Amino acid sequence: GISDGEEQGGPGEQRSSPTHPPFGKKQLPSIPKNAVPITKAASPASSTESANGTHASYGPFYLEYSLLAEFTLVIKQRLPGIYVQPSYRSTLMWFGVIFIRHGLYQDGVFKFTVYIPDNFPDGDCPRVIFDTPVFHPLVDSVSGELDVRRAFTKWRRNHNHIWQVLMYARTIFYKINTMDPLNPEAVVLYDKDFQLFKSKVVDSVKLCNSHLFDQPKIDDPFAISFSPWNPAVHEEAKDKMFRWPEDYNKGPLVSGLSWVKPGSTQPFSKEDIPLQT
Amino acid sequence: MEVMSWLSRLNPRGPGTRTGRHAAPTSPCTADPETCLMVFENHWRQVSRVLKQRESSVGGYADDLTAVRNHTDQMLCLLAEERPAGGDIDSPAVGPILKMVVAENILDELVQWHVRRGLDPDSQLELLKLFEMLIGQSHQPLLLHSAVLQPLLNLLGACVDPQLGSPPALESSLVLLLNQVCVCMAKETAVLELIFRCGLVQQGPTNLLIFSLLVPFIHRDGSLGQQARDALLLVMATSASNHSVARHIAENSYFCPVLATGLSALYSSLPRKIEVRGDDWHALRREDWMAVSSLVLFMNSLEFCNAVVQVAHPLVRCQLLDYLHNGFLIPVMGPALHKSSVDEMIASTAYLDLFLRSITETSLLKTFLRFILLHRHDNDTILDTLLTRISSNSRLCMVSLSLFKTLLSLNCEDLMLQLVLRYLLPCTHVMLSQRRAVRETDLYGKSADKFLSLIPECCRITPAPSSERDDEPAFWGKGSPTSESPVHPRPSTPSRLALFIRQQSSGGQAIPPSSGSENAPSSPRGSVSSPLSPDSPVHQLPDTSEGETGYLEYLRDARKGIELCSWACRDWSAPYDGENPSPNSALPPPPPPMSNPSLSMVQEHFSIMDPAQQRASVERLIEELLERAPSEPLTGDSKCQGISIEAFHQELRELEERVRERRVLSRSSEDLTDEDCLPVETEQHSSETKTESYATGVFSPARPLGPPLAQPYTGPFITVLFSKLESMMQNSLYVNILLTGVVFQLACYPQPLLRSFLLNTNMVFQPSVKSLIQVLGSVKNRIEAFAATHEDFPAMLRKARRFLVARGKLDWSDSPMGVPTLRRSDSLIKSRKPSLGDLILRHTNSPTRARHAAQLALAHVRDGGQSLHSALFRGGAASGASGLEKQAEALRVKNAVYCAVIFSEFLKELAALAQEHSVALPFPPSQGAEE
Repeated sequence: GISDGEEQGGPGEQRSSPTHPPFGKKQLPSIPKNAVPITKAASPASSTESANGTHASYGPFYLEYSLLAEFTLVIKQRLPGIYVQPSYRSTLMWFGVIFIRHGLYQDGVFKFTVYIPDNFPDGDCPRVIFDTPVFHPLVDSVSGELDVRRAFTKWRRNHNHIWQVLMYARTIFYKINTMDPLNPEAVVLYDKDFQLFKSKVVDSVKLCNSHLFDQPKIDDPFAISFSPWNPAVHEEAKDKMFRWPEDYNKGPLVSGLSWVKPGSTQPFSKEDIPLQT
Repeated sequence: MEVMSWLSRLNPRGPGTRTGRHAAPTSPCTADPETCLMVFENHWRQVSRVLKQRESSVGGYADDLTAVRNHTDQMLCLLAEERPAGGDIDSPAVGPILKMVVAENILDELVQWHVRRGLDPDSQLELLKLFEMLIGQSHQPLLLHSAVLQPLLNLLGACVDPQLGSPPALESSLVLLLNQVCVCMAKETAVLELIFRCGLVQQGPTNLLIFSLLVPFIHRDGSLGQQARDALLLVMATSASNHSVARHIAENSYFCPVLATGLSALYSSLPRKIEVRGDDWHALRREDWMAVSSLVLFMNSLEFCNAVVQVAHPLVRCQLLDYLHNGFLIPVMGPALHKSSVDEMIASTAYLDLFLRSITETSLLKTFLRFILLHRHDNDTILDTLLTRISSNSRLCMVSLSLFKTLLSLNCEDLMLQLVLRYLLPCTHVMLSQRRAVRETDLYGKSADKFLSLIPECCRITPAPSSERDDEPAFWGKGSPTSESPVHPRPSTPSRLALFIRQQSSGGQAIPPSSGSENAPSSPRGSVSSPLSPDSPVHQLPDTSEGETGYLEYLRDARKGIELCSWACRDWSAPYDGENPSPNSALPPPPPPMSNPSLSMVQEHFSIMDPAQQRASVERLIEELLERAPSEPLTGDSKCQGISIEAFHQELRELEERVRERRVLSRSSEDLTDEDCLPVETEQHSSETKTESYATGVFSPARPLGPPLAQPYTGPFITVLFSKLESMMQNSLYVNILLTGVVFQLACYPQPLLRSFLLNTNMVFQPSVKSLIQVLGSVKNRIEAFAATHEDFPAMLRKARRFLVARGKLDWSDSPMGVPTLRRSDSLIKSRKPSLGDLILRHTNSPTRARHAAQLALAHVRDGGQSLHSALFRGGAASGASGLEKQAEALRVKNAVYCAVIFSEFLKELAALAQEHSVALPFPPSQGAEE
């Protein structure tokens, strides 16, 4: 569970994060007091009408497919060091983990959960909450919530995508932004006592990593959980990753037919392999 | 390894099949080897005495022959039974009897003696059988010894006249012996080499006797032909890695030409007309052709070609493919497909479809496809010709659609390029500003929504009388899903689950190694390899909320279709996304066809005219029918309840044909007037006015001369499919089922050019380019107009739906008690994928429920289905003129009502495809895609 009582960041001018110029003007809106990680079921009718209009009964499919399409985009982006997976119970909740490979937070492995509003893509931006509150200016020290809104003031369908949120969640560990922090203590240290800040970061990374093998915070079959390498379990899984599912190989007997030479648009333009005679 | 599995299929006949004298030799093998050898020596002494006695005086007496035979029998049995101890696979031990046979060249002497003596047919037969027994039963690799092989070859040479072949009486023994030899050869590859070398010495260039003896039997029917083909395949497989043997087969044998020309001969004996009763028949299924002996014969030979291509050395394979192309496809299939009678067109199209479905070898398929795509017969490619037939009358249309379904299922880039993609490549069909949108995916279900919005209001589910409620398809959202379970508020769509499954097993980026399985026993992760495991939420759905499965089924089908298709297309040369290949680099696609005589010949009566013309035409037809009615009463007695739609169609068609001919005649001399010109959108396949209209500028009156150059043209396939879709209201139920099935399959292709053209409803096309959504919109309007004028439409719709559901149920149950006419249709609904069948019936997992459903269905078919028929054909009870008129009207109503059902389901299918495309991931090319 996640407790109440997060600090509310005050509104104010934000510098554009250099890594995210396309996100436009950054205004920090208020962050809701209650970060409850249970997604409420939107009634199909209401969510549909707002989103698509005509076919109320198909509304839930639109939402689910929109989210899946977002997830597909994430996969296509091949974000470095970021892994996510929608939960079993609801596509509105995604489990994720970020691996930080260099910088202040090097070797950090941060698990998080993404909460997507049920009126997506017409609602607010998704929320990102770290399982263990990381010591970071933009992460609430109690709830673990990342300040996403500063980068996505207004969620714009077709322009904003969840992969961008994930990318943003990664970027904050490489490029520290101290404006309008959720964790003022971190900022104070960052500005006044950088050494102490650094050591607190190291402690925080250690703390997070020490919880790596904990049971997932949310009980869900698709929750991400880590365990020490166990050949009996992992070898097979790893093996499977590098193989296509057998189903595909059993597919149509003849498949993948092509005799078109790359660059050509003529059928049968590919050279036959010359025969020895 | 393919070869291996194939070889294992051929089980060499065991000793059990032996008959006659050789059946039960006094099993001397149980005796010790020394005794056996002594017995053998004894026999040999006596035989050789005879052989030597008569050395000088050729001819001999019958006594001698009998004596020699008896002793030889015994000797060969002993040899066959000999089991030498010791030795291993590389150097098998040689038994004492075999040693003696080799040392004294006994078999050779025996055969020589017979040959000198003059072989009568009886002795030939005896010897062949003896050798066959010996080779088949021996426990030692006898053929590795030239002392066995050479006399065998001599015997074969003596039995068969090089010109005349083997005497009929010997055929079965000969083929059996050859088969045995080939089986040995497959076991001991060295035998092949040996045979080859022996042959070179003995027979010079016509060597490899074993092989050439078998070739004449390639196309035989029955077990003889099968044994010969099996034997030949063994030779092929064994010689696959032996270049000199392969070369010999290719250069010195008639194997390939015989095989190819034999196919031609067999093809010419196929029925020119396929007798069918069901009005839904559209393709040759196994049950259909197993009953036609000439077709069985042909299929056996085709299967053999396929197998040869599979196992043979590349040299032989290439030669065979070459012969098939130039000796069968071009001279025989080509003309057959261009025959002028509709029956022959139907037959040849169905045959081609069957052949394509039967071939499994890629290179053979390539040969067929090359023929279809590139070969020109009278200036048109085979593909062009086949395409035009989609627009023809119902049966030819159905057979052609079925063929294209088969072609589409090949996922062949070359084919898709010729059929559709080359017309879309230049991107001239989209507005310039829209070109980038080609690659965009529909993230928020806009297109799906658009498709669903086209479901006519009159087809939305209306509350039925409670007695019928069971049969009504349930739709998502009919109930209130929210009230069911607060924990699982949303449907778990197939995509969602499949995504995980695929991610996990394919090593995609998004899944870290984790160990979720131990603490989550019900997790799909535990059953990664089987996406449809009972644990997975997909399967929980039907039980928890049956009402949701309707659309979910379509989603699942769409997903499966897209996934299989993208998997199959993963090695294509380009993504076809509007950038690669570049729109500018593409060669300009061929313009719309100028004229095609075969087109006008098989024109469908309704599809090409606008509604006003159609009405006029139908009226004219009815008049004609009325004129003829007295002489040929179509109706009148009670038997007419099961009236043949087919016959009626035929009637209509013929009349229509005559009407048109007359019209053409009357018109040919005068100039075309505007009202005669066909609407622009039907230009591609407008029939009789094609030639003239083209010249006089029907396409664009502003430019009367020459073809319209820059007019975007999406190709004949799209054009003909769209025009057929436009006439959905007039199409028969079965045409519509097939037609929507083909469009579905086309829309499964993941290439952005094609996907965006068909499914992206937000794209803005050039004004002259008709989009799928436009076509569907016009159908929607027509259905609504029709419903508005028929107040009993809702009732008819319910009945039609019930009838289709009932048929669907029969498919599922697969019960043997089907009504004959329905049985024919099973594959149709099935081939159209789950559609209605799946939609409503979900009893797959329970045999009892399935049986129950089948019984129910039968009852429905009798009461519901037939009553629909009879209700729609009520006019048929009356006789004479008014009955005919009513029948024509009834047919129209029937087609329209069925169309309304199919149309609505089709839209859901398209919506599901649009949604699934937005979440589909491309597959990386397979390794070694470049061979």
